[in-house]
Parts: sequence; structure tokens; C-alpha cells
Amino acid sequence: MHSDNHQSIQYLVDIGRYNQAKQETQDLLHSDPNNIELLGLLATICWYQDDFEEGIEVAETGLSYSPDNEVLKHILFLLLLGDEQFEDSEVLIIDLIRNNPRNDDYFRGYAELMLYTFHLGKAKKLIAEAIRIAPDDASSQLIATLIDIADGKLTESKKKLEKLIKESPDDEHILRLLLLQLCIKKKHHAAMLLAQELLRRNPHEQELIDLIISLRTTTHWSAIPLWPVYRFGWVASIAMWMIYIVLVRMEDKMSVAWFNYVVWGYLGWCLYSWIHQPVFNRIFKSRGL
Amino acid sequence: MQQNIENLLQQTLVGSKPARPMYSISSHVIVAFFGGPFGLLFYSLNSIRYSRLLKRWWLGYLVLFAVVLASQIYLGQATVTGFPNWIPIDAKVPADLKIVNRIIALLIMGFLYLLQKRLFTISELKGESPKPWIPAIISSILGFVFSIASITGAISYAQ
Repeated sequence: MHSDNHQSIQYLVDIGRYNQAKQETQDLLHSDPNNIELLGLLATICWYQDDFEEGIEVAETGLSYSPDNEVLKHILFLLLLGDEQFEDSEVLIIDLIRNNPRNDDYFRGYAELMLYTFHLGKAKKLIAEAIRIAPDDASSQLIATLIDIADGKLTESKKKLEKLIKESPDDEHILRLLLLQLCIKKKHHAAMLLAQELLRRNPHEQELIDLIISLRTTTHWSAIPLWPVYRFGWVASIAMWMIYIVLVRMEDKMSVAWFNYVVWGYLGWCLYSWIHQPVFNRIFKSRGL
Repeated sequence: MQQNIENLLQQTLVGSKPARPMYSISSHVIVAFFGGPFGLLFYSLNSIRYSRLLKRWWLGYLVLFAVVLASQIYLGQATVTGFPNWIPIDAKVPADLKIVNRIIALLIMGFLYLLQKRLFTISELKGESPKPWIPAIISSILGFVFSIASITGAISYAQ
């Protein structure tokens, strides 16, 4: 009966029905409040829901009953990481690794912590160790690819990503990483198609919705004249300003009436580039997906 | 190898402030444009602190501050004495001086970006950058005030 309940809760978690899973877990905990497995499950559900504060409280309660429980310690590490309590999460993960030096999950978790706290060198060494322990683990390869992207090594990251896609073409984490790469490389059309596919799988994810709206703006026909701006970002903005200075200088030196229109036309184009994204984002947002 | 693993398991984050995502690069460009080199320096304080390029980050920051101050003093003096002949800009024209100041700010921004490119990328990977409006406005105003003060001081000294 016990394991049936746990299996049904796990099933609800697997299909993303977190609220229902949480309710059922809490109901079971009322009659069995010291059940470590249930506390671990509840803490995990809190992590999935980004409810870090509650999750940390639940995990710490569980650890007070069973201080050496590795599963609870790991979920507590993930919750502390999510809550940006980086110092405490580092203490915990180091303790986990010392007790389990052959566990690649822990090295990978520590690498992720180091990456997000801007310690890129240490993140690389940790993920290398995780890959050495489990060379075929896709999650470690994913983190290694993220680290390559952060390090500016886009060619290496592209090769790793291609290999991952070949092995697991349907893995959502890999597809998200591909989406990130496409956005970084400004391949907006391809990014939009992929984002739409991900949205079909996650229809309520606001970040994806916002991204699609933004990509729709940059790929709309009205954005064609603004290609340099969307392609080169802030570098284009600086170039636009320098071109304006040159045009104004030329206008002073040239005594040609029509050149005035060239300068005004250019200013109009600059203004269009500033208002295009906010205006069209609003239009597409109001139209809906 | 055991020694290498042991080295990796030394705490890195002890006593360090939380690593916040950095402001977006576009907001840095806007602050450089409107706040000048001083505005950019004030705005970049956090990112320079996290960059860990130097053990004593504040030393690098002080050096940058000194470079910016020197540039503003030079511009102030140039309004009286003029630029060298090979620079095709009239320092006595305020609009031209503004352009030069913006170019200096954008060059410093480019330099900081190249040094901290990885941090900007990691911040993008983490997700949304923090809202830049209030720090950007404060940095721009402070930057403007510092620029005016240093240029005016240099003009008075040169005259």
C-alpha cells in the first residue's frame, strides 16, 4: 500500500502534476510525519515547483531524523542552489563528494554551482571529473556544453551538442541547450521553430512564451530593414551613432540641399530601430500565440 | 590525481558575497553613452568586483578611475590649449567635446566587456538580468556630475 502510494505520487511528479502530488504527499505525512521517503518526495516536489523555502524546511526536517541520508542531503543541495544560498550549498556538496567520490552527479552539481558563481576554471575541472567517472552521462555533457558556451568556445559546444542530439534527439534539456545556442548565434528563425516545439510540450511556460514573442518580432517582415541591429546588437548601436556623427559632419561640409533628407531619413531609421521591438512585442503579446 | 581532487574540494565561496547576475551589456552601452566614462565606472562596480581578474579588484578599479580622471582633466585642458594637430577635432566646440567623451566611455566599455565577456555570458545563461533603471540613472547622473566637475576644474587650472 505504502509503495503503491509512493508510486502514484511519483507518477504525478513525472507527468508534471506537482500540486496534486504535493497534496497527496502532505496527506500521507499527516499520518506518518517522520517518513523519510515522503519528506524526500515532498522536498523534491518543492524543488520542481521552485518553492525553495518550503523545500529547504522539509529537507532539514528529514535530515534531523536521519542526518546521514544521502538522498535528502542531495535534494537539500539542489534547493539551496536554487535559493542562491551558494555558500551553504557548497559545504553540503563537498561533504557529499567526500563520502561518495565516485558519484558523478555530485561532481556535476558542484560544477553547476561553480559555473553560476562565476568560477569558470573550477567548474571546468569538476565537470571533467564527472565525465571521467561517467563518460556517457548526457547530463554531464550538457553542463560541459554550457561551460563551453560560457567560455566562448562555441565550436566545441556545437560539436558536443550535435553528438548529444544524435544520441537523444528528443531530450528536452538538450533541445533547450540547442535553443540557447541558436539564440546566441542570432539564428532567430530556427530558434523560433524550436521554441514553438518546446512550447507545445510545456504550454504554460511563461519564459518560452516571452521568448517566442521576442523572436516573432525579430523575424517579422517589418524587421527586415533592421537586420544589422538585430544581428549585431549593441555593436550596431554604437556604429549607428558613429555613422550619424559622420553624416552630420558631411552635411556641414556639403552644400547640397538633398543631403538634409538623407540625414533625416537616417534619423528616422534610428528611431524605428528603437521603437520596433517594444511596439511589436506588445502587438504580438496582445494577439496571443 | 587524489591531490587534484582534494584541491577541488576546498571551499571557494566562504565569506564571499552572493554572485548576482550582471546588468545587461546593452544597459552598459546606454550608461556609457549618457553617463560618460565616470558613469560607466560607477555602473560597472559590481561586475568588476565579481570578475576576479585581479586578487585585489579594488586596485584595478582605482587604476581605471585614475585613467578616467586623467582623460577628463586632459579634455578640460584641451578646451583652453586645443588638441594636437593630428586630432581633427576642435576641443573648443562643446558638441565635439561630448563626442570625444562618449568615444572614451565606449572604448572603456569595450575594454571591460572583453575582460568580462565570460561573466556576461554566464549571466545570460542564468536568466534575466536585474532591472537596471535605478542604478543606471544614478550612475549616469553621478557620472555627469563627476565629468563636469573634473573638466571644469581642469579648465580653471589651465586658464
